[in-house]
Amino acid sequence: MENYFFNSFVSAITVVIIFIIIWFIKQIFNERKYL
Amino acid sequence: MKLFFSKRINVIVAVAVFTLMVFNIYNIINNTPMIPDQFWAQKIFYFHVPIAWTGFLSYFIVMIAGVLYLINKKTIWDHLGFAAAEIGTLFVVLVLITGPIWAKPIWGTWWTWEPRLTTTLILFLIYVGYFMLRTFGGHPERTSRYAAVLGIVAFFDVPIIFYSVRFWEERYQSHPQVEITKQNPEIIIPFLISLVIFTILFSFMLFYRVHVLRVTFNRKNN
Amino acid sequence: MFYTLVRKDLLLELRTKEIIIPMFAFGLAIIMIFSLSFNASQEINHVFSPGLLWIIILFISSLGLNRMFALEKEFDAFTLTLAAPIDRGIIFLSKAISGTILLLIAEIMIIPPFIIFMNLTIPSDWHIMILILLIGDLGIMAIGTIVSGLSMRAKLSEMLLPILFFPLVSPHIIACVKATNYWFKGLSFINWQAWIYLMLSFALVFFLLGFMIFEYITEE
Repeated sequence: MENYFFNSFVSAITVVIIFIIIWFIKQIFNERKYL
Repeated sequence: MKLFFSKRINVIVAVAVFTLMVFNIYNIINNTPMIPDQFWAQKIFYFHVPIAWTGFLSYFIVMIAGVLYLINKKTIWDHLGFAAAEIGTLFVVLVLITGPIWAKPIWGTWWTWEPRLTTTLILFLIYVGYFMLRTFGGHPERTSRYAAVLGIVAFFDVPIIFYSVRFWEERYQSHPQVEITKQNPEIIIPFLISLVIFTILFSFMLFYRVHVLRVTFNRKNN
Repeated sequence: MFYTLVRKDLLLELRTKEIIIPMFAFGLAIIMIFSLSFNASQEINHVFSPGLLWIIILFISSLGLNRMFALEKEFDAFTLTLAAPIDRGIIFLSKAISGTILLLIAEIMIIPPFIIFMNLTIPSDWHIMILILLIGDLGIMAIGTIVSGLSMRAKLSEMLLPILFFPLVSPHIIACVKATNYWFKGLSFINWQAWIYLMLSFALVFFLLGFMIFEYITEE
């Protein structure tokens, strides 16, 4: 049961981190496209 | 115009923000009390709520940028509004994802029509419309103007949405967190730290995005 | 000037009836689809009808809103109206008020069939329901006129309008449904007056906002 809670935490924080990193990567590519 | 990260100061700030966030995550994992009944899942609260707060702040910025754009028509306000709408929607999507991930172990269901989640969902839908308007609106100047109007209208709708959903149904009144201010300091302090750090991250993302928008806009029009 | 504009819209409509009749037909179609899909007992009908009524009203408003600026768009009559030295906000008010009146007429037409097909028994104080409908329509038309103005010149405006309109109007609909529900169950007004106030606030906020902001929508 405890493990279940831990998995939720890990998946939630992973989603957040991944989304934000992908956002930054997209921005860098956007910039380079126009240069 | 040069790349954002070719400027030294921007790289330094980026590294600082990154470091702060790493510290934040470490702080959440190690320095927060373990709540019985909820164990690790409760700790999602430490980033779910700050992300929600920054998302709403973002929509506030969309409104302000909209008002300023309508007043003096400078493109920078249009860029600010669009950037804030984008980042705000990204954060709101994160809220709508982390919310159910938190809810499932605690309440047993993925979704419930409780006030704050429902408000966030409605806000998300309004901003889907915002992006559709931006895409299909027609002439660029008109689109910017219309987007500004929509940003203002949407923001005025938010308190009404919040109140109507709050008193909607008795059985949807649950939200596991007791009033934040009534918690003990062991919980409040890491929470506030997380809130501040996420706001810093958001501001940096906003600044970066506005820069990119400005660069691409100037490129297209030169 | 305001009265002239409202009269113009109403006279145009009453002569051709090209908005009200489709609204009525659409409403009937929704009632039929619902009855066929659910084939519910009378008790269940009583539970769902307040919500269903407002779903019908929302959908037929959508129809009316799509057409709201259609004439202006088609004959470029907007440029002519704009050439007149009147406050743009007055245009907004006239469109919203004429829209409300048309919607109210369509609703009054659709309610008798609704009651009959759903086999409803309604409370005796029906005048309160008229009030709920009126305030509800004002709110719907206030936000609807703004959104219609925003989407009328867009590509795919028939798709853009509902996508913008439905989320924005949803708190108002929640209040309308709650008020109708409480009235329908026969509870006295005191219990649910908060919802009427919410509806009134919505209508007021968006009438004011629309009045102030409409000039930015109609600029060339």
